[in-house]
Amino acid sequence: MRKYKVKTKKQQKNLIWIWSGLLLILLILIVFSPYIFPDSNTINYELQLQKPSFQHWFGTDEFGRDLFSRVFNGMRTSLMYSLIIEAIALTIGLAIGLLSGYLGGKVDGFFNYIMNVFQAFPTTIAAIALIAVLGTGDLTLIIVLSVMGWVAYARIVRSETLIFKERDFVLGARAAGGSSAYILGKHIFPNVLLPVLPLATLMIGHGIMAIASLSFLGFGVQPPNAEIGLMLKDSATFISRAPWLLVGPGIVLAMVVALINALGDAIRDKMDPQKQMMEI
Amino acid sequence: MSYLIEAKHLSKVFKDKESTVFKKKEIIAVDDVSLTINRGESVGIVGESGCGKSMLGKMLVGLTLPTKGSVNYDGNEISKLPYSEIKKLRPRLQPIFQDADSTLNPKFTVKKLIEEPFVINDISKSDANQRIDELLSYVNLGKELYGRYPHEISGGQRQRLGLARALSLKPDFIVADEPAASLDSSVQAQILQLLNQMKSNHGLGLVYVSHNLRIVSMMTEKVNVMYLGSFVETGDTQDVFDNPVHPYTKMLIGSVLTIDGDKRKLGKTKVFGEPPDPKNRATGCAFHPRCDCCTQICKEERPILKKVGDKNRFVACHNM
Repeated sequence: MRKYKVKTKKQQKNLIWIWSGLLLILLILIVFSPYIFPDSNTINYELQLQKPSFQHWFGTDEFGRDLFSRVFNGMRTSLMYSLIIEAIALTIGLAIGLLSGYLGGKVDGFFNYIMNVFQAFPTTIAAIALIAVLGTGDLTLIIVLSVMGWVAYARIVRSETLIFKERDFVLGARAAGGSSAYILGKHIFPNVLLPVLPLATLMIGHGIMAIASLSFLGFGVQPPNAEIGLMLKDSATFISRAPWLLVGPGIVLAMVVALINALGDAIRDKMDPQKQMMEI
Repeated sequence: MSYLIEAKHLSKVFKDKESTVFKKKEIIAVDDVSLTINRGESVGIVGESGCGKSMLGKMLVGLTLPTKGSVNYDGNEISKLPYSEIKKLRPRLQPIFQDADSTLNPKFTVKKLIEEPFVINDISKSDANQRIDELLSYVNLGKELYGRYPHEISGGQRQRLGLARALSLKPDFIVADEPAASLDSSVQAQILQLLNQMKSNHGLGLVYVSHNLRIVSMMTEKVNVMYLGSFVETGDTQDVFDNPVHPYTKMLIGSVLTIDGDKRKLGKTKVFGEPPDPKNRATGCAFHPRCDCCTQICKEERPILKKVGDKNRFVACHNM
């Protein structure tokens, strides 16, 4: 039989500290990148496609720009847009999911139909179609990805609402005279938020990936601005001559997404009073 | 004088998930039930799991609207009142739920839980605090629990907290759905005493839903025996328990376990057969597949409640 090593509470806490420390360093680099690396768009043809060195940790691209500084500049754009997108999507998803689950009947049927329509569309293709109509641009990118993103939230919120609205504490609050708005706001919403938060953090990573893939295809962020997907696209052209160009952006992208997911799990554990009890 | 609660021909029907446009399937949870409750009176509802007891209770306090029939509170039909009136009425009718775990919002602390009914009804802080002190001493809970969450207190404490919440707005009518099921005997006695006290001192009307026949016989003056959504026998508790007429009542009472063995068993009828499936209701008398005195008419015609003897006793059976 295999023996599982159970982490003690102290070890778990240390782990959380390590993750948060790493994430903090990355976040500082990402958020303050325009001040730390002010000349990331400066073109210098003498430094074209250099290998990683002490001056240029990730090497340089075909225009001789330092890849390390561009990665963090690019992540800044991605992270910011992704946060905005997920905030919009979460708000729409929560509102529609709560109403759909709580009211039921025809309202629920209508929203379910809409959700099916949205979910049936492959996100990237629908996004490209929308961008083709609205034209490229950062605002379009945000609108398109928010419009495509709310369904995942709405589905979970709806199903959780269906569960919670039948629970006795909701009936109890109703019996005490609580209005529907009170019950939705005070009883169902906080309980529904718990399963949604890990998804929301997961979706931030997902959003970063979506922005990157649209930029990779040329529909997202436009050059000369730095963006991870855009950089990966450019690097792919030189994959035989300078394969290291893919490594830096790839690692940072993977790390940021993984750390955000870990943070999401930590937040959920922190918010769940029942989970805290079990750790003692 | 009107009754505190008067339920007339209540039915609750659910659409079955398997039903199609061509074939309509229905689940009849409660089927044409009428009952009345006076102030200061307690009425028991007994029956097997899934016979519709809890659904009936929810309809009586207005948490679920009946498919057919009406519930009158003090002469007013609840389902026909405007929303503003219903909001005023709600605190008068309180449920106590079976499952204490799900009665309390897991995200609320004990303090928030006990204060909630007062917050909802805009009762001033000082009045509320005075009432809360009173309630906590009623149900024997201390303020040291205030910072805890429902999963951090014991099942008995949860149940008592639920009771305190139900009593907090001084209701006229309580439907207690197995309030003592998860409690140990000593706490059970406390809770039941408290309910009895409320009943005699404040004229509380009580419906006690349970399958614990001994508690029902202790707590109630009238009893209704329910089988598959409808009453099969109703009458004064003492009378029904001493002298059950319906074969199902005999079976229920015969199944009560006592400490001194068989001595106090009333009927010798053994429990047999399985609890019925509401989707495939038997024709005629719903109980006939399990009944040992079943005749041809039982399979064909549905019995209605008929008066038996000179007391307030009604039984739905062909073979009396």
